[in-house]
Amino acid sequence: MAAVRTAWGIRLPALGEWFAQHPEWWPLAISLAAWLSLAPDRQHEMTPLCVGVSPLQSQFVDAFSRWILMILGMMPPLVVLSVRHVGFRSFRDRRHTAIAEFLSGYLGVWIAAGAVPLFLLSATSIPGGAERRLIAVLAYGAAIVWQLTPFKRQGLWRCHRTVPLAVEPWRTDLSCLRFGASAGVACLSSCWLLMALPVLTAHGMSAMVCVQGAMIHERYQQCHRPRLATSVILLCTACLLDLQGHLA
Amino acid sequence: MGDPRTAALDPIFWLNHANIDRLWEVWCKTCLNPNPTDPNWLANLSFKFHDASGEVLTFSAAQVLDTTKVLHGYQYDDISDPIPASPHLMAATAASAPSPQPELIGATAPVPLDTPQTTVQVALRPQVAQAARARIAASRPTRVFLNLENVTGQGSLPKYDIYIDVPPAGQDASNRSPLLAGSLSLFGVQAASDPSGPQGGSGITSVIEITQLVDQLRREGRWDEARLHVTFMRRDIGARTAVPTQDLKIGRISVYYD
Repeated sequence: MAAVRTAWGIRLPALGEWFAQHPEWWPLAISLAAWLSLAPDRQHEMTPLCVGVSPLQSQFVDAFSRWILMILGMMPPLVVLSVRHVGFRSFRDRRHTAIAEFLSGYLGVWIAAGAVPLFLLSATSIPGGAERRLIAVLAYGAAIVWQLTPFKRQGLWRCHRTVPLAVEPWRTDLSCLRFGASAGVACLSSCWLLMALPVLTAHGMSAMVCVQGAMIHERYQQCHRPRLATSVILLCTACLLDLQGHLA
Repeated sequence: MGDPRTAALDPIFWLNHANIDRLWEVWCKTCLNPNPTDPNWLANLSFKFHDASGEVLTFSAAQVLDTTKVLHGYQYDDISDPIPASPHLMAATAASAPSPQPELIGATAPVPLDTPQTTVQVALRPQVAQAARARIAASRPTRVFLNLENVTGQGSLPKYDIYIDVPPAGQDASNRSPLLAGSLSLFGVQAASDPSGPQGGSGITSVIEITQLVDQLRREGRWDEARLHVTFMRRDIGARTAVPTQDLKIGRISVYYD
């Protein structure tokens, strides 16, 4: 096959094969787009989640839509290995379908898990000033303690679980969806408290970046254990940034 | 020896692992196989050992790559290749193009190994196989792999020999001689099957190259791009120590072209 070169000198067949060998490219592209859409959201960052004058319903819709964006941004980078597992355990012609089914189950669990807590938070009036600082410090402290527990370690181990995928026509769709959902439940059991931090700080970028860093770091460690020093440093950094920034 | 938690108490464990280390050295010196350079493999994972006085010593993989520098240092008497590498392996290793991911050609549903002998048919997809071979052939010879995915089980588990064959449709396969593909070792399966363990209950996955056997079947006109029979035969049949298997299951048997 003759190689066609683009204006930047990239060989198109080689580029096509690179995408075929890295089917995780589009979940990561979705993640990037979600991060970019959250980044300029300074208005929300400056306004704590539960303080405002809008009616309860619109406040919940607003918070839930930001929760969905946060999940789309922060979760795909955590499941790159599972996405590749699903892709390469499927026939080549349905790799992306299988990945989409896996992500539907995985992200669906996370998105659904946020609905009730966000509704309750929207209906609650959280005080500002010193009391709010105290809440933030307690939340970060609880997250650090959670990182030390055996429940966290076991949850992290379950995140690396793989399952055999069916190849028969409709069973394969079901098994990818079910694998995604089970990966979502495992991820939720490991990272629920970490993901609560950005919510409590009104999706503050400092909390999101630090939590994302801690989650990625522990997820891709060869020994599959929470990296306590890294977690503590990143969470303390996020706490200090929050206290100095919009919570001040 | 069958359980990772107690294996090191058996003297044969040390002979076995000393030879595995020697074979690794043979592997590195032949077929142009250098040690991996990924820092995750070299430095980010460490292992604890005890010395003769009971003191704990910690080593990373990077610290034991050169046998002449480990503790007091040692060299093997013989690291000649006991089995000349296959032409496929040499060609694949020498290929300059980066190795793409292997492609799935066919797979089964879960296979319980609850009888001394189990035969299962892997349904292959001829069109997928032909397309994969065409893609791979552009850069190197096609290799064929048998994947035994997510093997789980409890208790003391026996070993199995694995045979492949393609008997003609509707013909009794009992009087044929299937080809020995390898063995299925269940070392560590019980620990890997624990849902609360580090593997999260995934079990183990074993990969066996069957390229030469498939070539032989092709030469004999017995190869069928649509199906492959795989037979598992317990090694301890008739032995007094034979133990009943407990929930031993292969999550999926798949065939890959690479």
